[in-house]
Amino acid sequence: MADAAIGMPQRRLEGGEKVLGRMHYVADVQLAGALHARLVTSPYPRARIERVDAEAALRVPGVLAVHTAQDIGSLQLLADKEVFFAGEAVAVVVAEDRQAAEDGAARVTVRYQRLPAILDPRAALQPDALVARPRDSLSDRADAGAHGDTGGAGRAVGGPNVCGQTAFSRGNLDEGMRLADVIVENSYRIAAAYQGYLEPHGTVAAPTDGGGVTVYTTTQGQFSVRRAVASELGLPEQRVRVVGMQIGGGFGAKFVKLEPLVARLALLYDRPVRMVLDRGQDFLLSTPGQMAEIEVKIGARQDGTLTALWARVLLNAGAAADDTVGIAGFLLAGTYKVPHMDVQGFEVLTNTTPTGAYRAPGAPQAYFALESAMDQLARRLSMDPIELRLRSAVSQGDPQPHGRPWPAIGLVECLETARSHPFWRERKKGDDEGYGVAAGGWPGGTEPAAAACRINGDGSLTLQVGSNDITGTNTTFAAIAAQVFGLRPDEVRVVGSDTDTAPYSGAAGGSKTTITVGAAVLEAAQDARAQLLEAAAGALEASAEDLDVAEGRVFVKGAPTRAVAIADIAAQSATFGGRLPPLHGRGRTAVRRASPGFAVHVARVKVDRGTGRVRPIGYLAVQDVGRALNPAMVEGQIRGGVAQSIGRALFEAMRHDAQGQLTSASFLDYAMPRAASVPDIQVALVEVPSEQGPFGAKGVGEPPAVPGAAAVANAIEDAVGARVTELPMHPEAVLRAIPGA
Amino acid sequence: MRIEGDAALSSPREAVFAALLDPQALQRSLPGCKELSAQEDGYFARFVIGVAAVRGEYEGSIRVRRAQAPTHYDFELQMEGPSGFLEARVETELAEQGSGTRMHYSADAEMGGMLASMGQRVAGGVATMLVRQFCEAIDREAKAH
Repeated sequence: MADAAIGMPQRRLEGGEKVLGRMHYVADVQLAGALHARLVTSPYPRARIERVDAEAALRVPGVLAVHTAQDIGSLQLLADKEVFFAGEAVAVVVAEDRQAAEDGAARVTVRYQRLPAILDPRAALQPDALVARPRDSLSDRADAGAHGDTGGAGRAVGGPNVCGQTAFSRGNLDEGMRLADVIVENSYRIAAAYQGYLEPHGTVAAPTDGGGVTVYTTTQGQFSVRRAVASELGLPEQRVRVVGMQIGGGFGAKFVKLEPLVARLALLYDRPVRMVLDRGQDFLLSTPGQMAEIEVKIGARQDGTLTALWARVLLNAGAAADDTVGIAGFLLAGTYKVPHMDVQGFEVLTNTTPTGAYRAPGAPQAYFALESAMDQLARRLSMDPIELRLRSAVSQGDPQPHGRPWPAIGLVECLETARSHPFWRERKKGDDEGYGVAAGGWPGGTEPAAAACRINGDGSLTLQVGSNDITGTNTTFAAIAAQVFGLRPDEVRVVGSDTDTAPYSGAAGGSKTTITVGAAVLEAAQDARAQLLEAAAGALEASAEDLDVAEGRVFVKGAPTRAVAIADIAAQSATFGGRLPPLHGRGRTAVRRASPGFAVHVARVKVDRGTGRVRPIGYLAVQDVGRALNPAMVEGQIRGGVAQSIGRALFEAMRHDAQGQLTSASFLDYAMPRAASVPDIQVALVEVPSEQGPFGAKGVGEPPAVPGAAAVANAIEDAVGARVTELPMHPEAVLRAIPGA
Repeated sequence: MRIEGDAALSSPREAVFAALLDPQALQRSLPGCKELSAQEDGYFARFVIGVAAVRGEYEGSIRVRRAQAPTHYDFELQMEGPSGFLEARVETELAEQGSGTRMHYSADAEMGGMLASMGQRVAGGVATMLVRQFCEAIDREAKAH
């Protein structure tokens, strides 16, 4: 099969519509007679709800009702009797229009009995700590799909607030430290980070005949939403239709949020109901990436061979049942070959903003610590930082922390590519400029998926998938089918349909859509192709094995003039009295093994010694992508990941004050990277094929968001000798760390 | 949040203290105060205040903790509204300074809700401005006494 489409840069199918502003998002869904719903949120981080007084709200013209968990259930959103973080929803106002809903919400008076809150994760870890929230107040969340497969071995430890733990060990740590000529040790603090998507959360729901409901929403996983809505409303999944709208960015935050509540209201009022959060509420109710405290101690021989690794991870889950620490521990323990190792991690509940998945959950935190420490080790050993990493980097067959061997991974190849790249080899350092290297990886996730490939009566192709396209995956699916049929990708139509009609697909998260749904698409296209060849065999008087397809024709291999147009065959399958069954390919996959992806980033920065301000002035991102099915999109993913890394490195922090109030609930207070903060990014792709993904592809979404912060930190030390161990690396932190400043 | 400072007032200390005890003078002096009525231990109050993008109406109580003529006037303020809440313990100490008064004030304040989430960054500056406005106004009221 010649490469017609795979490996060629393709424009995003829906890119033009987006650029022209023609794309419809959930806030654009206008249904006649829709009611508007607005949340009332708690100003206290921990309190008992004594009374919700709706009287004044109900006097606002247009306000229909004020509901609480007491009368409609908590629906994974409304607090029931107690609030556990400032910003938690305690009531919802339903009104005829948005203004009335807002005015009504402003007039709801809630009487609280304030209760002591626990805010500090280290205090929350103690066995006798104040309980942040009772276990039975936690609902299961549906974003597990974003988490990678790490198989962390937990170690039972008490503590009423511990909601996740992990432990990996190997050899004898004391022995490993004794064997070391050099030991570096440091502790790192990483701020919680908001996903910063353009489009806030929003949902519109409408009742359907027969007691069902249709839910239009901005989500990464419409089938996750369907499951949650059906379960909360006590409906069979077949009665819940979820329409995953175009998404204005998710980055892990958009799984299930408003949908069960809005769907419940739609059924209650038998009218469409819409709720679109404003940015302030979105900040309060989002699930940012976890704040982390990580201690790392690494020992090595003079020649750079690692002898021992010790690490302790503490993640602040906020008021949510998060369990991301397994991934952080796995990556800390699994990236380098080290004979003696002891890595433990805990995640604790506190009365702060609930956390969740943010692009590669746990990984940016883990690698900021690990790769900062590796850089310090290289300096102590006077070794090239890439050489040091190459000495111990894991490759295929080396044991993962849980003992099973690493599959085909490209960490070593990425390091080698970075080492020989002109950006690194010909580095030029001006005054107060420096270069920093860091590696990072992502274990990857899996989930079953199905897809269909139809050959229409005119010979054109339609793919049907159920995944929500957050990153241009539909364009890649078109390329996969085009490849199978020898077409151009723009000749393939991809239909991402709703949960009533689409084949099942997992949520778009965990860097798994291309390797799971893509694999189903490949199988469906091959199935349709086989049906086509079988049908053509008779007409061409040849066996199907001797036939090939390209440019809209089926032909005999070696005799291309013996051919028949796909359209001529397909017509027979889609017409009155036709003689062929419809050409309808199906693909079903349950990929069981993940395809981990690794990346190596090199940052070049300039530091202002007077102010501590750091300016990235160059960047190289090397990544093993298995096979770049659409290099344009892969590079786009990588550039976006780098921008987010720079944000977490230098600007972004979800902060709470001493009373537990989120003090960064607007883009005035929460600093995102801007175009001017992101330098020119050079991208180098490494292709170590995956054993699972279509054409050898690996997930590419998460790895590029992982190593950046450490690369910037290492570049800062290279520039001005300042080792900054805290994210974000604000100018004052950098200034404090500059020796003699 | 802690706010502390000194203000120089041109009115004599006794007049300033008398103005502090006069509900009408007090209401006119408190920035954004729309209503102030006596109740047990102090006052019921209603304010409209804007901090950064958060403009809101707050109501609640001012409880006088110590009114010791002519040197000390301490109170607790608890205000709540749709944009959040504000609580403060305020202590003032009046000293003679020439023919006028030096007012030393200190306050521990806590805020919550949108007021804190979006306004905290500028809250210190806003509070300082409000205190300055209050001192100028109460000085005027004292002169009229």
